[in-house]
Amino acid sequence: MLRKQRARAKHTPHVPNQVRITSLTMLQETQRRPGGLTALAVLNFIFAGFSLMGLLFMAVAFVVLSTVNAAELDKAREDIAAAVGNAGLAAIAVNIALSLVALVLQVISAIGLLRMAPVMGRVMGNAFAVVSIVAVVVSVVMGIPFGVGTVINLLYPLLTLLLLNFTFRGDFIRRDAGQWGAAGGEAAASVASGINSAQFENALIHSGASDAAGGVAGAATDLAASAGARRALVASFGWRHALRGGSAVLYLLTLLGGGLMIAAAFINPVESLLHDSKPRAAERAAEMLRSGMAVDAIGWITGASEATCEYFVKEQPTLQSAILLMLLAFMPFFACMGGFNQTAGEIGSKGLRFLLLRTDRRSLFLGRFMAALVFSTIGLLVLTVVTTLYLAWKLDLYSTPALLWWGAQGTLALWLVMLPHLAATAWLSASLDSALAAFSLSMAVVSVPIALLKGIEIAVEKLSDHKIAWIERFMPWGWKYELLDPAWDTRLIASAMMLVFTVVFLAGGLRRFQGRDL
Amino acid sequence: MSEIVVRSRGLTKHFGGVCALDGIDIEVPRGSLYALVGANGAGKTTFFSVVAGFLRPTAGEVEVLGQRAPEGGVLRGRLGMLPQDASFLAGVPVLEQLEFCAQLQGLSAAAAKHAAMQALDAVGLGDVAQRNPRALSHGMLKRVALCQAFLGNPELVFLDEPTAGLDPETARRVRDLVRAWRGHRTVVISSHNLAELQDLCSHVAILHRGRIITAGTMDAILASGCVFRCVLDEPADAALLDALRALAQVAKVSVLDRELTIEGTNGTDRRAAAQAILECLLALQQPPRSFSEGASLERRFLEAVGGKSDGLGGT
Repeated sequence: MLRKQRARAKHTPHVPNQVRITSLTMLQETQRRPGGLTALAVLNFIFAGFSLMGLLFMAVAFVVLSTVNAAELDKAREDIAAAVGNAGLAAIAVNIALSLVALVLQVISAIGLLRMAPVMGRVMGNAFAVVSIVAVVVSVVMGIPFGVGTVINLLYPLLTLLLLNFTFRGDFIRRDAGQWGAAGGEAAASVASGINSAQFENALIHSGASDAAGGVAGAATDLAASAGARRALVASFGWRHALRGGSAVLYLLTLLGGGLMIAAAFINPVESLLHDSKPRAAERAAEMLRSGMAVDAIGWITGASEATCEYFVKEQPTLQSAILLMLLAFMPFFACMGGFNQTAGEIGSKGLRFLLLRTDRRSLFLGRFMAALVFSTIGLLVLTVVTTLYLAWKLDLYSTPALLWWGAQGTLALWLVMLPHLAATAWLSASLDSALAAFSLSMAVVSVPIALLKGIEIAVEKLSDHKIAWIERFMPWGWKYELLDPAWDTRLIASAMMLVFTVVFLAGGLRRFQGRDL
Repeated sequence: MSEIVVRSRGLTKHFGGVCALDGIDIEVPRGSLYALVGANGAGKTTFFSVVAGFLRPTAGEVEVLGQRAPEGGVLRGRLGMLPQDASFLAGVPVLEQLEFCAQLQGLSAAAAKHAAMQALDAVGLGDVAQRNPRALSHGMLKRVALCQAFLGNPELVFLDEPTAGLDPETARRVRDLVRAWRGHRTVVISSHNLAELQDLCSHVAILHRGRIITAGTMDAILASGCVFRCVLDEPADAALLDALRALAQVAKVSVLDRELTIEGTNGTDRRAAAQAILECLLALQQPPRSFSEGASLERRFLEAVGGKSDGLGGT
């Protein structure tokens, strides 16, 4: 008998108690971790991978520079300087050391965030952000060139600081205060005691018994009496919690990362020219930017008249024009990222039902749209302000007032392009029951008609030699470049068309939202 | 005549080719505790959802608290509901979600926080107020949803299976709560626990395949005809049943486990019939555990739907 028991025990996988408890704790952390923190942790791992690659490159540069003899040093330095500037060995060594510390802290904080550990997650995450920022500052001070890549490197640590110390601060502090109990045990014990009958009666029965006809018990003044106030409430709750859900973190990083990469694609070659030690480098760069080649390139991208292209190239800061025009082309996709889940996810989970008891469908739909708009606008402002300030501060090619004025016009144009696309995603989101379906269809709705109309346009031009560019005017896409047209009346018409599209899409979405089962 | 707070006329709802509600006519008087009884798929949840404005009716009309085609904006705070399958927003602490609900009902931020915290404390969930809903068990979520339903003390509350998934003690507290509301609030409640509804409610409607089979006051539904309900300690044997059927005052005896439903003959005196039945039971040394006039809601329900209810007793 004893032998049988021993044999059974031998074949039964042994799970130590400690492992079981840890697994349970991890499961509990997963259940109460906001989606935004999960997204941050996953991004930490992804960016740590990129940092590791950068670190390896710096290490190779360091080895090359420190091992070549004096005769070869200049040639080697010349090759490496293209990437790391004229920084000396010391600068590279310091940069490697700080990057290594940041990398280790980033990986530790990623694990800590997944486990919702206050020290390992929040403290280490803050430490990673601070060390990363210090590393950028030190590297610039010691001679490694500051470029758009550096701004992108600063962006993520700054976002980490913002999220950990504002958005998710309470998630860690509450645990420190012991309100949740060490491993859920204390909370479970108190919850197991169930409903407190006397308290329940006092709180939920007697307090309202004398107020049977009043509806809103205990409210001296009804603060959500007007539809506008209710919409504002829905909007403010929506955009504050968009970050916690995680999708907004991804949207911000996509918009800022993608937007800055677009900017970098134009700025980096010009910066290389400016760093050229040859005489009149700045003048040569400016001349190149104002050349006929630049006019042709912008004409090819925008399909605008030569006069309009010359306006973009010669009368406005060319580099900024190129960035804004490219951002205008990408803005519909960025807007979809910011707006696809206005209602779809909660229609699927039936979570809107708690709100439908308290507010009308119109306020809910428009409030959610306003939330997406506020959030997307903040992201857009950060992107255009960073880009404009970079051009003003780093490149000595254009006057600051000219950059600020053209930047403001560009921001308004981008915002106007964003509007109808956010409205279109609101319509789609109100029509579907799944956030994933809403995301996929939003992207398809933006890209498929563009591809289709472009295809028709090209085919007709090839076959009949007729230009039918007007066909694109059936979508907001067809009006986007005219938002920066030199003629103000053209701009006004394009702006009005964007507003018309917005109203039409919003009306369609509202009609669908009001008529459907939720 | 008491005021009607919920009135529907020919209320119909189709989901594609499926008819979930088929011309429902119902009137719920103010201050009543109204039971909605039906098997799974009978249309109870659909009825609640249409009346609350979540679902749009295919045909017919509904009037809630004097408002036709009710919308949250109009009935804000006057109508509370415990929906059966709605989920709270993932990632946002339950306290903040309740605060938001209270703010939408018109409370200031501070008052909303106080009301939400008070409600959570009252259901024993004060300690988990900051938790993500995903971290809560089914029973805990049900209690949070109950808080949500009662927030702001609405005049009319719909409770769709409020005790399903709750432990016996908490379920009892919820029943006590609903009972205490009698006269103060109107509560429409659905449950598969028919004994619970029989104990609680003043009115009942039996729903079957999207139609109201019968509706009225609980007393009227249970006490129609001369019927006695008797629960024994052990299942009745053949000798006892034969003895009861032999009584002149008894027309029919039905057996459901240890419960006997005894129908009197037409025109018989109720008092005399009850006395004869009790004497018979005592003579055969089978004193009843309980004896009452009128059938049980369960029996009435089974009779109404033709005894073909697969969904009963599930919860």
